[in-house]
Amino acid sequence: MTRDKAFAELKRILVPLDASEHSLEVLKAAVELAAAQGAELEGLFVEDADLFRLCEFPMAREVSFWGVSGRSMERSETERQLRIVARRLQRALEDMSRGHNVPCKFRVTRGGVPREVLDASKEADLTIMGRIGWSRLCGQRMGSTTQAIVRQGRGLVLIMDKEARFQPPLQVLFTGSRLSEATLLLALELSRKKGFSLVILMAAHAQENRKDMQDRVQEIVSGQGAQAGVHLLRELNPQGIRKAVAAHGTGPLFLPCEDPHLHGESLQQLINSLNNPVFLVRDR
Amino acid sequence: MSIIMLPAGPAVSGLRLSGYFTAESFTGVLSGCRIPEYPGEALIIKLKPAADFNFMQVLNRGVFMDHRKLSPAELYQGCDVLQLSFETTDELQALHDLSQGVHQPRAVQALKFGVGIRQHGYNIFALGPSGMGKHTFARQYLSRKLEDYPYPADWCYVNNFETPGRPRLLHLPRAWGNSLAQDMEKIIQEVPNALKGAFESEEYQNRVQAIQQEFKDYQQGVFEDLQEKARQRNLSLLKTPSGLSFAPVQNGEIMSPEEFQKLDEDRRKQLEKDMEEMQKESERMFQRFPAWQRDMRQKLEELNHEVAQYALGPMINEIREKYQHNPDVSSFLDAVQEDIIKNVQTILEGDKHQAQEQKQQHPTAMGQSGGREQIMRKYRVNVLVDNSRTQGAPVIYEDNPTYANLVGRVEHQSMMGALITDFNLVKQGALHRANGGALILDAYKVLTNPGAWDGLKRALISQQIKIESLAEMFSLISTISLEPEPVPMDIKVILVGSPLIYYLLNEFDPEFSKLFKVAADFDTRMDWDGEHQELFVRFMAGVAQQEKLKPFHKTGVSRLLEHSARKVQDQKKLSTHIQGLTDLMREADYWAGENGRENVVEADVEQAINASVFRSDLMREHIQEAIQRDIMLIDTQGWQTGQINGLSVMGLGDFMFGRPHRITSRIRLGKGEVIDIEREAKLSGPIHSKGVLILSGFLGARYAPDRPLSLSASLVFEQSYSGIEGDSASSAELFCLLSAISGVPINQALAVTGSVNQHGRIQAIGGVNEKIEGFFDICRERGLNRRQGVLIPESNTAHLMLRRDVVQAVETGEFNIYPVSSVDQGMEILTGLPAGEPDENGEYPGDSINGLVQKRLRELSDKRMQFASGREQGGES
Repeated sequence: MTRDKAFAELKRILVPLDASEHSLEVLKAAVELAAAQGAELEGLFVEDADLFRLCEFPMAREVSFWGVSGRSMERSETERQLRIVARRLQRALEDMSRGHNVPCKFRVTRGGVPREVLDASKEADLTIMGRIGWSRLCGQRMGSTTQAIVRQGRGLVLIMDKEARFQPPLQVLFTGSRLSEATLLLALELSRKKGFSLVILMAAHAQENRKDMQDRVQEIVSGQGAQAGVHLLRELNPQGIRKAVAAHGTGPLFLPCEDPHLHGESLQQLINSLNNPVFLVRDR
Repeated sequence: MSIIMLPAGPAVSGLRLSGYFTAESFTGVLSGCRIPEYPGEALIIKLKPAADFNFMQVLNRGVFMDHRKLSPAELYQGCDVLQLSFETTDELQALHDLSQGVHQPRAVQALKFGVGIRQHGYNIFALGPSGMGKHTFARQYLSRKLEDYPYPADWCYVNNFETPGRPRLLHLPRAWGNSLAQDMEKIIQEVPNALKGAFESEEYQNRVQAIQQEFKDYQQGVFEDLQEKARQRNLSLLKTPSGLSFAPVQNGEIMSPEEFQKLDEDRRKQLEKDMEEMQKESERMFQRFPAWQRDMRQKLEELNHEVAQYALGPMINEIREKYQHNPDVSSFLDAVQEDIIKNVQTILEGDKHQAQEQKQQHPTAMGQSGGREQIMRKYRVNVLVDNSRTQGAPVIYEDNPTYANLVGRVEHQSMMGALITDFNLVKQGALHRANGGALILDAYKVLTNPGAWDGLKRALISQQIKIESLAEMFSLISTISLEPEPVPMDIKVILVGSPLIYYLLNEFDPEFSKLFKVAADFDTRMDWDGEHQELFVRFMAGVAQQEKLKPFHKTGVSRLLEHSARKVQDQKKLSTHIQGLTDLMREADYWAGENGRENVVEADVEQAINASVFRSDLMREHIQEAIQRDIMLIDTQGWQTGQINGLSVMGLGDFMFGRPHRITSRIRLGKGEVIDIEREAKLSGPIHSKGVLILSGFLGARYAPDRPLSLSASLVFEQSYSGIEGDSASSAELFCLLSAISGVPINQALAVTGSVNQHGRIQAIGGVNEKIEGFFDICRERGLNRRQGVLIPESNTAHLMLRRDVVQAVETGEFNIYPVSSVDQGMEILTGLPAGEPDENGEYPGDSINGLVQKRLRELSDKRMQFASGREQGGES
């Protein structure tokens, strides 16, 4: 992947929204990133098909957090309420985008939420997900939709917390693979645009490889006219990565997701253990 | 034709002789007429007498009568310069404070009484004409009197934290107001930083997070529990748009209704029951949320309270200790502390807003920084009255006593298009400033400013100063305003005004006499004796010093004294019109400068008086010119029957001048009425009409006590085109009437002033000096001939302070002034005939004036009776 193919290709940024406080905070970050990239922002709200299915059950009742007693669920009322939520989200998206001169569009689909988001993310250059939405109430570290994206998603995905902020230094994992080179280019570009310093977490398992990797990193970094610090990883596993990341603060972390450790359950655990915004870079 | 030669004799008056022989009693002088110039000179005259005039009889009886003329010394009370024991006023001990003087004993006593008595309602009304120096007098007296009174307190308004619309009043010892305000400003400056330091500290943040986390943990625990219970029952917790619900699950997916229907009945019922139970369980759990949240908020508030108190405590306590003896301040500080603690977040956020505004350079509509400044305003102290520099009790003069300037006002400021206000915008009025002392006000201004008089009375009655907006009272504006706590009032109000205002208020305002029980009556004049003269001269020295005028030489002072006496038209009095004196001194000083003199001398004062008269006498000049050009007909020589020169005074502001009027009378047979043409034409005032009506009484009683008065007489002021008021011409009118009745001509070289009563006594009038001078000016212009003069009431002699040129003319015999006390005396001077004394039957000698009048009236009466009898006979036939 060349530099041109990295962030230069980020023309469409997808932000799935669920009206939670977390999701609106993520929207702010997405708007800023889209403004920096000159990308178009697409808001996606999925009307959960499970809710409509539930409405078919006569005994189904909706319990409000602040209401005195529950009320029966009716399809028409649920649809109405979802439309209201969608309108509110659309307005929030448009207001924020207008403030940063970011072109935007808003889409509402209906179906299983993870499926719909996964499908939509295939068409986006970058999908920005909040780490957790409503599931936070249930004590989870990562919401079900984000879990699905982490496990099954392709392309470029950014996972971030409500409190997470874009702040230096950027960190990028470099394994020497083709994908990690593309990831490094991506990180270099964002570093240049934001004026942030960059730390390269270099995973050199064997002593003999280290020199080659260092040369390659040097070549890529100087090729971009940039500078970067290098942190050598002793072992390429979630625990090692977490320790290294923690040593450099809570700036964004770029992960090329090709190593066996950076897939599925272990990737999810790694993300859960970090407070940093995490860019997951994967082949499409 | 007759040739008459009058013998020389000591009693011959040239005036009477000359006047007599040129009267219309003769058809004309034939030859050899020479008017005698001095007593004793023989008159040889050839003339043709009128057919019905017994001229020898008149000559024999009347021409030798004499009447007293006033001597020059009686015309003017001069000041003897030799008696003044100084050269210039610089040598004198200047007197600035008139209130120490003795010239207003009545006013001084009233002020002393009014100020001394502390009971409610004993306010003072200082009455007297304008320019008397009443303000200065009252202020000087009160300042001296009140300087030993206790110092008044300071008054402040502070925010009422419970009811912001009713600002609280703080009553503080003198000079404490500003001190407290400064202390509070310091707090306002320091509090945000102190709070910021405390509330941004790591310790505070940790404690807040701990409290919030407690709630989050509880919330999370509830959901985890619900989710776990749901999972055990094969249910899934679903987030709905406004809450949550539970759905049956099969193979990790939400079951469809069809799948649900495929389940056996027991299973279905179990699931339904589980869902219902979970829903109820959720409701039960959620119902605890508000209590938990309240608990969390309570804990946060307690924490904020604790931290804020820790941050504020030392600052507030420092002030509290300073004002520990004043419970009001203590309670205010408690309220401030409580409010700051309650509004910690707002204050800290206000700080952020302020920073943002400064960054954006976006000032608020009030022109102040919006954030913190606005929040902290309510902790300020609005010092309404600061008496830190007051010596003794205050004596305040409010020269613009509008309602708001008296009782204070609540101002508003525009913010974002709305008018807003708070206790900081409460402004003091004169009543606040004068509280504990005295307030001097101009009565006319108070009465003419809308609402001011009512506002003042309300305050005096209630003994409270209550700030209410006049506009709101009349519903002219509708905006949020304040109702500040009323200020207890202890004020002595001194209203200064004219007697007219005083008496009108007394008559028509029932509250006035209850509120202004003390009248300080200022006299317009004082005795001209040694004591008062000394005081007056020292006061002149004070004026010269205060106004930075040149020293007045004793001749200048002497002239000022004389002018002062002239002002009050009294040889034994001096004017107390301070403004007039001060103005004249300023003007004399100017002329002394123009004349290149170091000191102001008599000539400068004279020049100032003359210049002042010249500036004002344009109308007089026009009238005199009209008389000289015979546009206005006034004779100053010759004899005329039924015609006389009356005198009147015209006032143009400060300037008064006299002028002669031709008064004429015609008679005919009638029913005994005297028709005043001025009155008929509604050109006369009531006093003038009264004077004319007296004439009828006099005529009837004297000449026809037992017969009907059978004439109809008309009287008129010729060429008068405006109103006439006063009775000073009534004697002239009577003389004119008697001349018309008797047919005896009146000497036109004379003019007359004076009122008359029903018994024929001549009574004093006003403006005698101006009247004499008015006629004198006309005569002088035409040429003085030693026969001209003025008849004045004898009782006016003491009022003469005539111009020097008039006095000189009298001194040289060119002009004469006759003091007259009765109608008879006046008629003798005017006609040269004796008045005549009645015999035991009431009959007057036939050749006397009274005899001629009596005779004529009887003739008219007879004619009337004949006429009536003829008519009766005619009626019978």
